[in-house]
Amino acid sequence: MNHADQKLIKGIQAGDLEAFEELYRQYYVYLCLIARHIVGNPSDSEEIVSDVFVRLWKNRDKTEIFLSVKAYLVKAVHNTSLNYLEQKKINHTLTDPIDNSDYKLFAWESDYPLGRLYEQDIQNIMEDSIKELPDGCREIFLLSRNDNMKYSEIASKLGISINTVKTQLRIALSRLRQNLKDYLH
Amino acid sequence: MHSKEKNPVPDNLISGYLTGELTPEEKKELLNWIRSDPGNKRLFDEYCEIWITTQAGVKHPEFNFHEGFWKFKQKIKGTDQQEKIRNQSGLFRQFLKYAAIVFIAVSASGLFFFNKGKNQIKNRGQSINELIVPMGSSASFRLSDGTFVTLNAGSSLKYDNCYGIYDRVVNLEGEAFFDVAKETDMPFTVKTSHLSVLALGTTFNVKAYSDDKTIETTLVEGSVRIEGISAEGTRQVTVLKPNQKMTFFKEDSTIFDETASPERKPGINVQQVQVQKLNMIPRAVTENVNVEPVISWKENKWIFEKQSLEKIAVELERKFDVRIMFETERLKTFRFTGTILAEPIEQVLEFMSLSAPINFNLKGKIVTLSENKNFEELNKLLYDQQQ
Repeated sequence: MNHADQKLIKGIQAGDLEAFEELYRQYYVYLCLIARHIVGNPSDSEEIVSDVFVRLWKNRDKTEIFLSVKAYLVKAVHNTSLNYLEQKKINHTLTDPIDNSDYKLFAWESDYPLGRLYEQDIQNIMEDSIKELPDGCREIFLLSRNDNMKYSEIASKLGISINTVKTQLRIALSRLRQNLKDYLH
Repeated sequence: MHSKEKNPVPDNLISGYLTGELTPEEKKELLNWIRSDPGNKRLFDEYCEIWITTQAGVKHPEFNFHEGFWKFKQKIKGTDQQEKIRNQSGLFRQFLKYAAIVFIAVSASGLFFFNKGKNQIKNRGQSINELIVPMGSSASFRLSDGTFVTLNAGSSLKYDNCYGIYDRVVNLEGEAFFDVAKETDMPFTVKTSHLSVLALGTTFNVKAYSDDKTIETTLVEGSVRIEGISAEGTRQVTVLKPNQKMTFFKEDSTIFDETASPERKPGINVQQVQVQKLNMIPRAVTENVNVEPVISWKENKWIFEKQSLEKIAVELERKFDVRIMFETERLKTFRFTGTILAEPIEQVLEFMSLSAPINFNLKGKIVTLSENKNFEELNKLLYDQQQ
C-alpha cells in the first residue's frame, strides 16, 4: 500500500470530507464508467457510485481497506452494480431478448482484479499506444472513444463504409491489448 | 492454442459490444463465445477493462465529480451526528427554531389550544421545543416531516430543532398517538423515561405517564422496535407486529397484567391474550390486542374493556382535571366495560352510575365514589371476585 493511500484511508476513517473529495476527484468518472459498463445507463451509474461512497462514509469506522482504496472502490461498485441488476431483474422482466441469467457474463469474474490499468504510468503507456496506431485507425478510435460516435456517424463523417469503421476499431483494440497485456497478468 | 483455432476471438463482436453497436443476435453470439470457455471470459474481461480505462482519461460531461461530490454531501447530512453540528450555521438554527414554533401554532389551531386556553408551548433555550398539554385537554398537531401526533391530557412532547432535518427524535412524557410519516433513511424515535421506540412509517400509541407503573406501547400498523437497557446494562430489543402491545414494568415486583386474567363472565367479550414474561427486562408482549380501546382516547371517547375502576379513575383525573376519591377499597376493583364519549364529567359519572353499582358525588374538582348497595344484580355481574 502506498503512502498516498495510507493517508487517504486515515482521512476516510476520521470522516474527513477532504479525503472523500479527493476520492471523488480521482475515481468518480472511472467508477461511473465501470457501473455504466454493467448497468448500461449513466444516471443509474451515478446513483450506484454515490451509494458506494455513502456506505463507505456510514461504515467508515468499520470498513477495513486491505489492498488499496482503488481496489476497494472498484469491487464495491462492481458488486453494487450487479445487485442493482439483480434487483431490476426482480422488478421487471427484462425486455432484452438475452436470457436473464446471462447478464452477469458481461460483468467481471469475481476474481478478476479489475482496476490494474487505472494507474498513472499505465495510462501514459496507453496514450502512447494510441498515438502509435496508424493514422486512420487512430482517428476512428478517437472519434468513437472521445466523441462517443456511432459506427454510422463515423462512417458518414469520414466518407468510409461502416465495415471499415468496424475493422479499424477491432484493429485498434487488438493493438492496445497487445501493448498492455503484460500489465494484465 | 487448439481451442482458439476452433473458436477464434470474435474481435469484431467484442469491439461492437464495447461501443454499443451489437444487435441482439450478435449479443447472443458473443455470450455463447464467452460461455464456451473460461479463457474466453477472461479475455473478454480484459478487453472491457482496456476500453473503460482508455475512456477514463477522457472528458465525460455526463459524469461530473463536483456535482457527484455535492450530492454525496447532501446525502450524508442526515446520517451523521458530527456533520450536523459542523454544517449547521447559527443563523439557520435560529430560523428553524421559529419555523417550528409557527408551525405548531398554526397546525394545532384553535380547536384544542385556544378554546381550552390551557395549553402552552414553551421554547426552552436555543434548541428545545416543548409542547405541554395539561390535565383536562388534548391536542393534535403535525410535525415538520408530516408526522401526526395526538397528545393526551397531562402529557408533554419535546424535540429539538434538528427534528426532521438530521433526525426524528421526540421525548414523551404521558400518552401520545403517532402517525409517522414514511422516511426510510431517518427513523422516528420516541424516547420515554425507560425505553425508546423506533419506527419508520407506522402508527402506534405510547403511554408513559410518570405516575403509572408501566409503559405501554401498542402498534396499530407497520412495525416498531423498542429498545431498553436492562438492569444488567445490556440492550434489550423487542419488535412489535400490528395488534401487539408491549407492557414494560418500571418495577419488577409489579409484574401483572390484568388482561391476562381469565374472564368467563357472560356478555363480556373475552379477548384471546397471551402474555409472555420475557427475560432480562421486565416486559410482557400481548398478542392480538384490540387496538380500538387503546387509541379511543384520541377520538374523544373511551372504550373500556374489563377495566378496573381504579384505572378508569386515573384516566378521568387526567381527562377532566379532577381528583377522584374512593369510599371503599373494594370499589377500585369494580370492572367496567363500555364506551364513554367525552362529555362533561357529570354526564360521564351519571352514565357510569347507571350501568355499574356506584354512586358519585361531585364537589368542585373532587369526585367521591361510593358503592350502590341497591345494585346487587349488576354488582354480581361486574364485580370480579378474584380481584
